[in-house]
Amino acid sequence: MATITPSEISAQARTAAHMADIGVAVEIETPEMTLNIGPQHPSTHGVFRLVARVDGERIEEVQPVLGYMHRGYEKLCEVRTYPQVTTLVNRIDWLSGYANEIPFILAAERLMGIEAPPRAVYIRTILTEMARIATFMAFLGAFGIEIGAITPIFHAFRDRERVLDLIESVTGGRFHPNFNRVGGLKDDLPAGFLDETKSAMDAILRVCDDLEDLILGNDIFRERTRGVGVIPIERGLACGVTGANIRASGCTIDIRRDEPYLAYPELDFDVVTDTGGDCYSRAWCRLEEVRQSVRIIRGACDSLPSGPIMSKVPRIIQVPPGEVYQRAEGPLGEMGYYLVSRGGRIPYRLKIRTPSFSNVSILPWLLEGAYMADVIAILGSLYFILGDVDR
Amino acid sequence: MSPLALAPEEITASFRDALGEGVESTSTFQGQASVLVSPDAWIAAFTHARDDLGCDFFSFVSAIDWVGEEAENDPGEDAEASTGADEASSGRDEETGAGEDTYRPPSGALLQVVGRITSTAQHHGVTLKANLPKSDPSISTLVGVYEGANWHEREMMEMFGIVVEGHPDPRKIYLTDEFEGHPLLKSFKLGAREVKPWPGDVDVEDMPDDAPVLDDEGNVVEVAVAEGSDSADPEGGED
Repeated sequence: MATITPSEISAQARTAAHMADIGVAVEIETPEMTLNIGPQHPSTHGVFRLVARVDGERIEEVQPVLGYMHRGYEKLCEVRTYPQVTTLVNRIDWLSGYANEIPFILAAERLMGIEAPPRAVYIRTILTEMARIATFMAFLGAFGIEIGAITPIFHAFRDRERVLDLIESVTGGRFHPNFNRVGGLKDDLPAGFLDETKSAMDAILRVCDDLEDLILGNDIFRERTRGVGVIPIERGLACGVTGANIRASGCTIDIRRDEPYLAYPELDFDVVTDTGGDCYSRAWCRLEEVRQSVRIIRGACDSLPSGPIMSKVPRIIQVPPGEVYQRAEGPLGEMGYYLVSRGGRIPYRLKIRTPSFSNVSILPWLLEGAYMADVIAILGSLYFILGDVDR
Repeated sequence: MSPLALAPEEITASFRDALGEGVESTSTFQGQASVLVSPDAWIAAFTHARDDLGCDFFSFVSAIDWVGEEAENDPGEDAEASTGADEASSGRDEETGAGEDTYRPPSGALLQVVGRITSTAQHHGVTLKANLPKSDPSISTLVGVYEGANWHEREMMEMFGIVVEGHPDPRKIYLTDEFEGHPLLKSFKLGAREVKPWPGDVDVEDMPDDAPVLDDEGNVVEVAVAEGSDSADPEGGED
């Protein structure tokens, strides 16, 4: 029989006392606390507030508070001519202004019965995909930071700048091109654009590989994002979640393929889907979609038709009476305009269906029961732009 | 387009079969199926689209404020022709199919709720509408059918003053609680336009053929004629 020394006895007593303390602490109910996340939180990409009721580390209920950025675009569009509206819709999702113009211009052209010439359609396709790459590069950099990885953003933003330079060389604006006209484009491509595009696309593919190693291959990143914030398909669709957010859950919707517009039917690309539905899958889908965008741009540059960039349009843009819902696959999801015209030079009503508004509406359900530490990962992976939520 | 997609005519016919008297009129303008239902059939219409037509994706729901006929925008003979057809065939003209793809806006002053849903598998969609009287606009909530309608309906309530019955969370979404009025109603004047009327209005008529339209500050209001188009022809061509 082993003898017990006095020091061991006191050690056992200390441990027992310590265990008792823990036991007492566990039995005490943690008080419920209301916590404001935002409106100036860096991971919200704008001014967005979550009022969370938390119990310890768990979130019991969350109420998103919107409207800090509400600019009333739908009202403003009712007192502006069609060419003036394009400047406004540029600013809805400010990271991909060019992609916002497309469905609006297509809606107006559809009601007027005008088609842009093939060259203009191809240039529109190229610029839309460039806007998508720029947006996703910003995501991949920023999402790394939100998870705690500082390095990726420098790689992502370095090569994103090359794409923005290309957009600027064509349109004159990095973010707000206002380059589309009803019936075509303002200008043709500048000299040397195609060569510069080729080398920039090579750079984008290289940085994609780097980011895949740096972010998606990182163990800490995997631990933080795998199985976190899973969106089931049915619930996502009923809430109107679109874009990479729903494709990451295994739903193969892509308006570029389902309801073809621009030059997409003539170009090769795959609809990227994953089955995880979690934060990791959403990031992976966006990275893959950058690669697909590069494929589309290369294909469009190779088969770029020659010819005019503007079709014949009346001097005054007057849209005949009619209603049409024109949607497009924006970088963040389904971007659509329900255009109501009673004839004349101003839209009678323009309902703007933005992807982020519907994407964010799933948050109260998604965050219920989540840990505080996962909130930022979930917010970041949904990737919403506040201008797109609030309009 | 998927081979499974239903044609717009098939979709409108399916609503007529399912809802019967609940369907007030249908349209296939611009290749998009649009069904005007009575407010009582609003929920039934969405349920039918979801369960029987596979429309699992909820796009949006919003409203349009129709202020009634405006003389300057009257399409004239088209409107008269369609009115004549209505009287002649007593509301059965939609069945001919030929009349369905012409556009007929409502003539009276009313609020119209509009919702759009699509099928992710078959790639067809339908626009559902219901006319509400301006005096007492109210409609049942869609939250039970499509969860995503929640926020869209909150926006619709504050922007148009439409009462959404049974809504689980009828607070304002964008506006502050103290805000009075419903901004997207046509009767709600935009503050900037109250102070100064729209400068573009003065140029609506009698524009010189070859000068760009300028507003008071000298900004170009209209886009100049594009390259390659015939600037001598003010109406242009549509090819």
